Amino acid sequence: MIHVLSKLGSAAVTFVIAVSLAVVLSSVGGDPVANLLGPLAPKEQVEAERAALGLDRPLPVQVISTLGDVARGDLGTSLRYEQPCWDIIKSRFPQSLKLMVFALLLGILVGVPLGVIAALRENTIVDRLVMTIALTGQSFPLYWLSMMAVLLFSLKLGWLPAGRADGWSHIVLPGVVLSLLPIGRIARLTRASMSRVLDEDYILAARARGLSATRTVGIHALRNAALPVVTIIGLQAGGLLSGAVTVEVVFAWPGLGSLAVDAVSFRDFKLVQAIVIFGAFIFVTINFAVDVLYGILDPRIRLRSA
Amino acid sequence: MTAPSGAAARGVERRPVARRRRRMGAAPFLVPLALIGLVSFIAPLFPLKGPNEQDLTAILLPPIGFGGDWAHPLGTDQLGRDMLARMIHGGRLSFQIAIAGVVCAGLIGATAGIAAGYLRGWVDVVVTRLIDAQLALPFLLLAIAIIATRGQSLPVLIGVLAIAGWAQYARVLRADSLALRERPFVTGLRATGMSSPRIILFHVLPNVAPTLVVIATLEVGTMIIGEGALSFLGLGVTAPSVSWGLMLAEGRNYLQEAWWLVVFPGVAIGVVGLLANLGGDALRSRYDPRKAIRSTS
Repeated sequence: MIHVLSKLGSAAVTFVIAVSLAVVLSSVGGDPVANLLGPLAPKEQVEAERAALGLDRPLPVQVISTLGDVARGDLGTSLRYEQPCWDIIKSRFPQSLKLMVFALLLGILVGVPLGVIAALRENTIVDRLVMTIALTGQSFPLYWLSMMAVLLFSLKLGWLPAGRADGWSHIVLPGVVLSLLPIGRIARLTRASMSRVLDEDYILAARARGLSATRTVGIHALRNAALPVVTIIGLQAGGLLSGAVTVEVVFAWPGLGSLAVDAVSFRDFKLVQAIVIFGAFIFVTINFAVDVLYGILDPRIRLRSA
Repeated sequence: MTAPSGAAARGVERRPVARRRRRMGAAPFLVPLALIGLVSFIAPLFPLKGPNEQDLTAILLPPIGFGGDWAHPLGTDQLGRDMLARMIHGGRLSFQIAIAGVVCAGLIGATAGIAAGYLRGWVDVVVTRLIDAQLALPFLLLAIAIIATRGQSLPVLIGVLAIAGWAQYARVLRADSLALRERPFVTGLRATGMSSPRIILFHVLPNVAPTLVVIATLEVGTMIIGEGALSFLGLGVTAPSVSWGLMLAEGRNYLQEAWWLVVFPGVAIGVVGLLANLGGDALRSRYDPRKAIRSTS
């Protein structure tokens, strides 16, 4: 319980600082109102708009008032749609979530076995091949891979639809492309973690007692190797949210990423800021959940902090 | 898991032999990376057409091997601009932005990380919290937010990349300095009355330099990909400048009829990213075999 509470406190502090950081970084030195109204707007109008948006206040006041609003669940009002940002985010988020969950599940289903195989064949050609493929998926830009997938599977072969989000067949292409990120990360980490666990004495002991290799690897090694992998799944959330932005744009997927890119072309900085804060909230929440889960999976951690 | 039992059996038994590690050096990756960078940097010395020189009588010509000729080895784009010239000039700007981003991020990150690890106390508390918070903000969304209020420009783009990158340096260098601080030679220096800034500059910094080089190498790839993503979204480099990301954004509309507009810059970004990642990993295992085993990234 103490473990959970201390993690909760830590998550709250991280979130508060992240929100402040987002407000400060997107305010200092910038002039969103001048951007919004264009260079021809009269000075009085700019001043009035700035006052209306609360941007004429000192920065610390802006940060604190934003934090207060966020605490009350108010993410501000979109300048373009003239409705609460939260309502717009709420309508778009499920689509992004669908994409990210699909990618993450695929990442686990493919990444973990790949990592296990590479660890069992450490430093062989199989290992090198698997790791190079994993790294390739992480090195090539996702939006480029998205375009290549559209070109090959939609335009040339006509197997799968590209664009929009109606029905399950539409999620395959963007979902698979986005999954390359978690597949690579999870495969690399599983390999590293598994390779360490396989050298432990208890694995040798299990083998000495005549347990089958499948049982040794599948149950005893994998269970212990899984712990760091659970952590990386939490950290993936942030990377996936960023990766989803470009993938959504290429596939015209109506999620948060394409919403943010649309918003910026309308200079709707309030909505963009709200999306960033929401993204940070998701990230912090998932990592809090992972921390708690970690404590349940590994009693050593729970007991140490208690 | 689903590892076939036969393979698993052999794998477990063969391990002691397979454990002898033979790792490749970093040179096979870093030399080509440096060559690509060099070619980009001396781009103006090549007898190339201008990257914005239009020829409307020669639009969308395919590359050699696909019906093109040597006048335009990589074909031309929708305005008849030579793709080879654009690739080299685009790489030049992409590299310049990436290197500026790596240096800025490195300066901020190394200062914060080393100060936190060596000085401990409140500096450490503040820096650690800032690192956590920074990592909680999704890079691309934060970049979009900053560009939304500030508009697009090269300094903003580099600043955004530096903000995205500093936390990586800070996190790793903090851990390194923390360990270094307790080493006898550092305690000895402190005992002789040497000042903290002096110890940090002349004794801690040289010892964390290999780590710094590893992260910087990895970050070159991250920055090239990041610049590409922002330019692709129309938030980074704008015409008449040329970068690989911008070329992808422009080529996107011609995906079906002119694949070469999209394939070349994309492969370039991917290859540079891959070389930087592989090179960084190889450097890491050379400087610290212990970390190579735990290469988490």
